[in-house]
Amino acid sequence: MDLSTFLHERRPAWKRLEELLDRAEGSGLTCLNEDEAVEFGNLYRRSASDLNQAQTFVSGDATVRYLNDLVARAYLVIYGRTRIDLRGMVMFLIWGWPAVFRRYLPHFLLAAGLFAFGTVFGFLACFPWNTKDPASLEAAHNAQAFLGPTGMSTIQPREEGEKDPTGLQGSGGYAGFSMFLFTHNVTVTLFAFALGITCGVGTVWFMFENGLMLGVLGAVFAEAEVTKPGHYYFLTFVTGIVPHGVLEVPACLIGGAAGLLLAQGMIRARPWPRREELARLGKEAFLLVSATVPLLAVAGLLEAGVARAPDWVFSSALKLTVACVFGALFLVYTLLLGWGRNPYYRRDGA
Amino acid sequence: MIFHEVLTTERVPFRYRVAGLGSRTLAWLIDFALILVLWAAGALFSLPLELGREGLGAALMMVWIFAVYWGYFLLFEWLWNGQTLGKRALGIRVIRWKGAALTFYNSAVRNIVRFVDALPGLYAVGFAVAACNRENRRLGDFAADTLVVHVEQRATPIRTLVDGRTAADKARIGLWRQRLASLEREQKQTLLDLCLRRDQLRVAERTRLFRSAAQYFESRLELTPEEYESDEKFVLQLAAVLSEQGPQEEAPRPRRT
Repeated sequence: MDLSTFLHERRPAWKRLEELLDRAEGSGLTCLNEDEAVEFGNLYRRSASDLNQAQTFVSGDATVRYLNDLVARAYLVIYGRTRIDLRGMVMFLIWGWPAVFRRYLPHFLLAAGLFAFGTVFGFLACFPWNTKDPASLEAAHNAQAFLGPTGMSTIQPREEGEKDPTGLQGSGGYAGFSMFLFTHNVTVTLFAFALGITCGVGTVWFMFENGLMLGVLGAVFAEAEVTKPGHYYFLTFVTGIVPHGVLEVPACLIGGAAGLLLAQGMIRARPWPRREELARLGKEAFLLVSATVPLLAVAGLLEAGVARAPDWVFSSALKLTVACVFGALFLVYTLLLGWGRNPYYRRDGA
Repeated sequence: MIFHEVLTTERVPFRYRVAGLGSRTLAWLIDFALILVLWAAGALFSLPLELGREGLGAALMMVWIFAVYWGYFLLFEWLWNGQTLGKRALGIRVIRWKGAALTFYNSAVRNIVRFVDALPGLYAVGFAVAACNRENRRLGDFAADTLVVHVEQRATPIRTLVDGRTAADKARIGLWRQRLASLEREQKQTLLDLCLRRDQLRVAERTRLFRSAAQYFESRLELTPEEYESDEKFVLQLAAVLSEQGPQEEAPRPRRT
């Protein structure tokens, strides 16, 4: 066909498609009525086939480019954002997520293993095995200073009667503190996930590093327990850590597991290209990490409200009980929900 | 220019022009400036609160910083078909590899991995990675299966040919049509293409091309232009006769927005 006849015949349809596009690009296809929507579909298919024809038969570069842009615009509108399904998101978190978690349990366990390795390493390096021997003590203190977090001095075991700087606060302080914990923990978790894109090296290091911190702190408090018995330093440490750690540490590990999943997508190619495998596992990893946000919101409230409260407000026993209850709830959630045919999470691929 | 080809479900290939590092950096600078403005606005709002009731203002500010930092890119790209304000200003947008618009998951993954792309500062990692692959994708793009492209919001309309054929011209049409019929198909298309694209040419080239076209067709078709008629007008009239579009079809002006 000749370019001029081609243009002459088809241009009205393109103009009409442009008109409809101008409206649909702002507010989506929903702003078209039924007839217009059908017309839009027809015009789009017609233009796509015109583009095809123009690419093959017509040498007019301007025409091909015009049609290309027209089809590209229409394509983005047709394959655009679907409506926001809040109910679907909530239902996924309740029923779908546990299935995702169980599917990627090996990744979680690997992340947990790295974390545990870090903890044991940190503890062994920083605990003075012979407190009578000054050389051993010094070596342990050096290790603590070297491995420990930078803000170490604020979390030293406190002497009797010393004022706790993180004591009970007003409601504003409570809100602030729980918010700080929430935002900080979400950042840490998502960071563990994002680091997966470094072929997993970053995530492995990050898991180990976080375990290490816990191990070093454990050693510091254990040393205080041994050198100054009778103050229950270690118990304070445990009751301070466990009530929130029971949700925070798993959340962080889930972030790590998602990171490892991302790394798997980068490293292991399938019969299909790496790009596709990474995209597929990227989506799975995102699903895996998505539940940590609500989890950390609960953990933040728990830590600010219960774990950091002085002992005269909540006794250690109560703190531990609360921790156990939440830990049990988390286990029930991950292990018991979402078995069987699961409409909220469908496995695809291998 | 680098193109990313997409196959529609009807198996028709079309192309997106991949956005370069320059426009992406500029878009990011705009976005970053806007984020700073949003943070400053939050500070103005929460400072009196903090003075009134200690802790509350700080808590709000913390949430605000966090929400803006994560929400700005994520929500804009999700809800605005892959565009933030900066990207819209630069005429670029994020799309999925297969050509469709972003979903929530694409947007979220892309912007979580931004963390690593921003390491160790000023997007050094992301910049290096993007500079090293053909489609300028950063790590977040790889993880989320996305890329950034230019999308002409307004495709340049095709100029319609010619207007103003005078009565005197009409007398010549029969002869012209006859002579034009002897042209090869390629010649006809070149003639039409030149006329359709004349607005995209710079003045010097435009004059030169139309002059050589006019000379060629003059000798090839043995036609003589009117006295005082420019080369361009002569060629345009030839094209008009060729495309058989009468002067009654008025030429729509190109829309510029």
